[in-house]
Amino acid sequence: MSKTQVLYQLPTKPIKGTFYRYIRTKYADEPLSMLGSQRNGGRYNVAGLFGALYLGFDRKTCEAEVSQGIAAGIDVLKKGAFTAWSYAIELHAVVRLDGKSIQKQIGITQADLTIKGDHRTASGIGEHLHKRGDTEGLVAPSAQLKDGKCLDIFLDRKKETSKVLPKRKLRTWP
Amino acid sequence: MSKTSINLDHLAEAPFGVQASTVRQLFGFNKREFAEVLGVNEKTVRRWEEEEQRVVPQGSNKQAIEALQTMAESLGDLFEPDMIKVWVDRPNPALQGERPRDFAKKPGGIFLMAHLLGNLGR
Repeated sequence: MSKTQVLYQLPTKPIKGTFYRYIRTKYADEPLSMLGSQRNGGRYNVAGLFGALYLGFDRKTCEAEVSQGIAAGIDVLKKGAFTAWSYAIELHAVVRLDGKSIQKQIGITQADLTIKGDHRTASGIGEHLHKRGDTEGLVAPSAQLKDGKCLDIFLDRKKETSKVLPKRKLRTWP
Repeated sequence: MSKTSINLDHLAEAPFGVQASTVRQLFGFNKREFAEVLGVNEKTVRRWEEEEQRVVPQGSNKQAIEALQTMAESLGDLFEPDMIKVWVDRPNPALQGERPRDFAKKPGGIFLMAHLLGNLGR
């Protein structure tokens, strides 16, 4: 079986809980917007093809994700540039790319998914998982925080009985 | 215009001509170099910067205009004006450790930076 075929056979799992997202404060009233990823692409989605809602398992991961990538630099972020949101999530079918056995099945390592500034492997995987149609998203290791995890949701694949609810607008950061 | 005279205040709200000119100077390009990097005509860059009329992204220049708008908007949203210059000169992990100022000169460099910045928190 080829690597691509494996992606179509990977098991899916349900996931439920509170997750977080840091949104540019200017757009803080659009918690479900995926315009940035839709237009520009992201680690697990391809620009122009489909968008993804990128959430963190905790706020620390979100802070690392927004400050340690292209915006990296000590204390250079504008005060209040981001607004944190919490989300109540209940999904029936996500692929857990954070597991070593799944990574082995695909023939990749965690390092392949978290290369700084190079999304090719990750976005290739995201594209196939989205194409499957039965997968609502994926869980992946954070590229910016050791042991941090992200939940990337394909909102256009969300099942009717699944929930992606913005819960609370929290505080601005930094 | 010298680099120190670049006005980075309210970059996100500035007219496109100002955004284009600011981004160009920020990365240290002259108009010819900037046109090459963006894959447009030098005359086009001059027109963007000199004309006050609203520039509408269309045709072959669409990608370049959108990248510049995204870049200007994102820099204005994310950084304090003084810090934009710091960011441009700081090695960046998302750019294989290169400084944005150097990375901009690579083929497609401006576009990749625009994508990475544009996706952040949006």
